[in-house]
Amino acid sequence: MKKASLEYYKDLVVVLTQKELKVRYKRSFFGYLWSIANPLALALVFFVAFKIFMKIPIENYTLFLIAGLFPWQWFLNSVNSSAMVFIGNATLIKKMHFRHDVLIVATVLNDMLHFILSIPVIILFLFIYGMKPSAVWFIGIPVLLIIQFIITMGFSLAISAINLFFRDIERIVFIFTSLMFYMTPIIYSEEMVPSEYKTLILSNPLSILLISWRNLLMHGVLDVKDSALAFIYSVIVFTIGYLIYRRLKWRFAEVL
Amino acid sequence: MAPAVTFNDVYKEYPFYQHITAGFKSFLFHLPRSIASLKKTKFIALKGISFKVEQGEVFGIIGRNGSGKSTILGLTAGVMKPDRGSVKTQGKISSLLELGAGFHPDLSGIENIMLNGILSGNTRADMMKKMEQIIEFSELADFIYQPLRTYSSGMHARLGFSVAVHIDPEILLVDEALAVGDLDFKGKCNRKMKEFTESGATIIIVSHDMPAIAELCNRVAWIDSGTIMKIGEPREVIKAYLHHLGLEVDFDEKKKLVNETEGGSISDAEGMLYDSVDREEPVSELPDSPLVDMHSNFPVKPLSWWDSPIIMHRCETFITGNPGISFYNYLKKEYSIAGLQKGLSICNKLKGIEHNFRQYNTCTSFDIIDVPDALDYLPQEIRELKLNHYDLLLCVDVLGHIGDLGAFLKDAKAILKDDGFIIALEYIGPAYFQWTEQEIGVADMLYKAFNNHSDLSANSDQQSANISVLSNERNRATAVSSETVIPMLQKRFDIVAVRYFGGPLYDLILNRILHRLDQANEKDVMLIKTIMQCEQILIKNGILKNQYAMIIGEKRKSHGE
Repeated sequence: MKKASLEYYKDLVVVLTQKELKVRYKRSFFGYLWSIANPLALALVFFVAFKIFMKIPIENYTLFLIAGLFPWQWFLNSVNSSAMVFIGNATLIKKMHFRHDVLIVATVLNDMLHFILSIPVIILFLFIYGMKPSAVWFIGIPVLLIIQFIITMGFSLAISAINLFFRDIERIVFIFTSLMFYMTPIIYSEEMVPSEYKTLILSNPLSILLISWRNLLMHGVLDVKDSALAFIYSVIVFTIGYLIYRRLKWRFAEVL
Repeated sequence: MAPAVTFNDVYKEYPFYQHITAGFKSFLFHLPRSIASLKKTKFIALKGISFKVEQGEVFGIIGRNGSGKSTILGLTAGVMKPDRGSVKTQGKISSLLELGAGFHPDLSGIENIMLNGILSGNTRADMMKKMEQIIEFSELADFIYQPLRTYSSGMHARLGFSVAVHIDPEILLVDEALAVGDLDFKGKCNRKMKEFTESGATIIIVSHDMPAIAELCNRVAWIDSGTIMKIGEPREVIKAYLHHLGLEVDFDEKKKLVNETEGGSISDAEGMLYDSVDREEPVSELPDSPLVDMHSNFPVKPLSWWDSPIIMHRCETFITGNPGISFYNYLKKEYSIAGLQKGLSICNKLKGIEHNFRQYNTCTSFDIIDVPDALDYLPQEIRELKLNHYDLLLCVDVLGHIGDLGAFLKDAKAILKDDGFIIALEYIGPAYFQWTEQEIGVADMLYKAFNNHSDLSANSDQQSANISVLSNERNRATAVSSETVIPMLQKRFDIVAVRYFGGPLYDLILNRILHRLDQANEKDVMLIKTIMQCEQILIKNGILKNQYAMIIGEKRKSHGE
């Protein structure tokens, strides 16, 4: 892998992402529809529980939920599957010399692709609630995609690498992501959080990002300060994740 | 010109990771002890190894299992990093390390070619250009569109080799993967490798196949316990290695010799285990005559027949019907086959049964024809042997493969003395070999059960569903219908005995998992035994149809043809 041209890495990522897509839906009939069905079903459950039963005072609650759940789903899928990425690709890692982090890139890109493909569903709900997509999306979506890509990469790299050594991480991640879900303003809005807990919620590196997604998708607003903050968070998480990964990567072929 | 590969004082150790993979909790609860034990319990794979492989060289690495050969390949491929010292490589590396390396079971052949090519450093455009060539070379035809999990091990190897050689690597790493291909394909691979070195590429081969190593390599290194014992001219090194194992080889004389130093200990020297059942002792005084393949002039390796000593013992027990009586003493007691002078052995890859024949004084000397290299002209070859010369003709898995069996047997009869015997260990199932539904069913069931309940390798589940697919695809490589073996023999010989010793479960299951089993591991030994026991019970009950048997024939005295 001495001559690492840009073209080569592009090809590498494309082929691996295609592979992920093919492998994931190899024996399923509905394929990509499942990636929408899951957040939609969740949205329905939360709608019934919080809007109908608990009368949460949020307007357009379905849309509100979807605008948070779809990006969350991307994060969740990537992080959950990252635990198994290196294990699932053991035959490749043990026998061939290539940058193993491209496997994670492919996984995260793959889930990102699914998220992008689910944006039309969000648009559909916008129209149902009598709203319209905004022109700000053309800048906002790429910006937030990049930020979320970086932060998801950070988590995924760390988890995938550690899981090779401590297989328990897989379970821990499961609990961790469920906790994180409720610590992130997805089913409630940040205004509803009592002020003494606000710092706690906002210190969650995903909170700002998901608030930004919702503001962008629902109201067509991209707050520069929020985006910058989310970006800083993502860079920090990525750096930590990458350092962990780098520290462990030489042992991969030995533990697998 | 810089060397293709340079190892400079390379030191590599593996901590025993089981301590951590056993679980986070236990690791954390005993953190200080865990860390201490991590530091203490490690396996040192390489202890300061230095060598260079020049460009264009074919470099062989030999040594016992666990001596560090694969670690060297792993370091060369760049999948691992040395703990001390440095590994430098020059040029694009293609690894052909193991079966299924660099492939994904759920992707089709084509998709895997692309994936493998990209991972070894090619662009997509490059791979598109080579795709057709690769597919053609692999001879996979329409299978190329099927997911890899439906492939047989031979098809895997074919695809792997095709990709590896077509992406123009400057260094090719080969780890015995070629052993699984059929003869045609092996020949093709050998030709391709020759082409390869002529064009200046470097090849590093790890193998136990001494004749192949001696033939292909320019230089050989013998590794033992992480150090280089000897490096240099292939024959010298192989000689030293075999000497270390207790075998003497003299390549310098025209006549090549193999002497066993201490009868029974050879298999132990190879790290194998015999069944713990008490057995009658072999005759200890051994005649000093050489055991050499007549065709290639290479010494015959004293391995046990049928891949593993455990299987051997089970097969023998099945034949003799009594674990206390060895196969050879059985031959003596039941059929008075003992103390024969001259034997001719024609065997298909399963070398070494002759050693046992000698140890038990069943037959004191053997001429050997090793068939894989000579199948095509075997009938001619046997015609050139002395008439009326041999007391015993021993055939292991060859008769079913010979095109003109009738002519072959006529000649075989001619070279035997008047009171000569033929002992054939052969497949004798129905003609036009096909697994019966029942056999596949039983194999499938057992295979799944074993995959679930044993810790065979982690990727075994991806193969578990494949028995039926594989068995459909796999027609026996025989050109002749095998059923003719016994009737054909009957035309020339008086059949004294037909004793079964194995059947389809061996082929369907054991062949497929044997390379993953550890012959020194008690659990794996049990696994082999259980499969073989099932088989033998089913054969006795007449449920399994495709069978292997030992056939003993006596040369018919009358000349009536």
